[in-house]
Amino acid sequence: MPMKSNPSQSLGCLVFGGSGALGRVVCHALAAKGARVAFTYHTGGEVAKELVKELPGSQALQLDLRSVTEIESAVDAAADEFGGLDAFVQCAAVGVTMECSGPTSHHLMSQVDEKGWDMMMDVNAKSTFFAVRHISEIMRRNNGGNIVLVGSIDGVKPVPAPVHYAASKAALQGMTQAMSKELGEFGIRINLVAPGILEDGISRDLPDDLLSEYIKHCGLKRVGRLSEVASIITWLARENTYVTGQTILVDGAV
Amino acid sequence: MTENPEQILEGRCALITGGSRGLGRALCCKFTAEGARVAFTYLNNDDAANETRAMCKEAGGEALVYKVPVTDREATGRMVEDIEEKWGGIDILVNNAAVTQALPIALMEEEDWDYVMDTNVKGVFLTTRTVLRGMIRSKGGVILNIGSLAGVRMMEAPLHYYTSKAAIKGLTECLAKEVARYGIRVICLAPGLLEEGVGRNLPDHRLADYLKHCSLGRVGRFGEVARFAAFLVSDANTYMTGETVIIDGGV
Repeated sequence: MPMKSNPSQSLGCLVFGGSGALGRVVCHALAAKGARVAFTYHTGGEVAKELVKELPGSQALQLDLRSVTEIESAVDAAADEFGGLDAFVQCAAVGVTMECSGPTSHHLMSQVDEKGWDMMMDVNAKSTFFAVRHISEIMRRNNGGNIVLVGSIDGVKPVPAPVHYAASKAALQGMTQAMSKELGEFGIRINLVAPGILEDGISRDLPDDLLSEYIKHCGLKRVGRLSEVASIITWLARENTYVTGQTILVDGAV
Repeated sequence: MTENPEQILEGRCALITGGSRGLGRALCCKFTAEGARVAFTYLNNDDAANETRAMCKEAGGEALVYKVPVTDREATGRMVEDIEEKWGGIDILVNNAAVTQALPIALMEEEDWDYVMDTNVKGVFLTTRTVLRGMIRSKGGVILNIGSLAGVRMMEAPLHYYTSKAAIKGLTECLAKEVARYGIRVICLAPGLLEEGVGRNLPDHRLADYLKHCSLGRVGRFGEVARFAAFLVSDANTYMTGETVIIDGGV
């Protein structure tokens, strides 16, 4: 098992995007394994409140991922609470950056303006870089830890996807590889879990025609359950000692 | 470190090829400790096989042990029949048995090529085909193929070994697509250099090279690969199939 920040206590885990569909399940899964959990939310205040009730002792931190200062404050708050950090899970992301004309409209390049591009990159990629930059400094002090980023099949395989979203998720793959090289000597492992289409969360933005296309090409012929992705995230956050720099697809064989 | 109180493979039946030594032994012990019934094959080292059996017993299980080469179709058939009769079926197959030789291509004879390809690729095909029939009947199962970093990442390695492991990645992808309709998952776990695996005869300069390029700066332990393997084949990991997962400390 990985070294703990405080050997007398259970693992201290910080989850970005705990009020999101996947993040919430990840928080539950970590807590069920005895971890202490702090999570961030942005607009999901109600969900965050419920989650704190469901997970006694957990800590909710409001955060706008577009602010590096806020990211660093949230990280510090969690680290203060736990006396360090053992694991970090980045579940926060945006999937669309504009009002779609309807639930079935395909998000094409022509609909992505500069503001949309910047928003996507800031929330999904830039925030992750600055979060890991700060967290890794803290983890170094307690001899290491596990970092798990959540990517997407869109950033790994050639599938129809909003281009800026796919680019932001592909950026996480490059980040994971390069960060693993830089952080390995401090005992910090970093991996990217890239899910296919899931039952809830960002996947809800998918137009119906693309959803049926996905199911047709998916070996298991169904979308994934949040719990099926949360389980490997939890394993990598809690038990991993030798996997690092990897992108792990969980997509039912597309 | 204490194990989780919950056993993640409780009640499952697993066949592991090449279980007498190395990673195979660690897989047998870990799967047993996680509550699985374990059967394993070995090629010729009776003492090592007995030791693995004893270690499984210590971990809380009575392993079925078969001295069966993975290249022997008929013996494999009889073994699978025997296991299915005893257990009612096989839920998990781990294709772990593999061989290698440290040879440059100029010295690699046709017999060498056949020896490695027969064990590492044809053996996987034969064992998988035999076990699959029962899995298809029971509409479920997991096949874990042990691949290698050699075969996934460009690197110096014995040509036949590298080629055989690249084939295992391909086999995993294609088979996952074909058998998903029966609810069977196929995953390839590709370790880097392990403490005493096929890399034990590695020339010093290649070991030093590995350590230099490995982010975590050390070779892997059998136990940590076996722990990941147990998770991958468990009921917690039901949406991953066709995937090759690398465990190499970040090379």
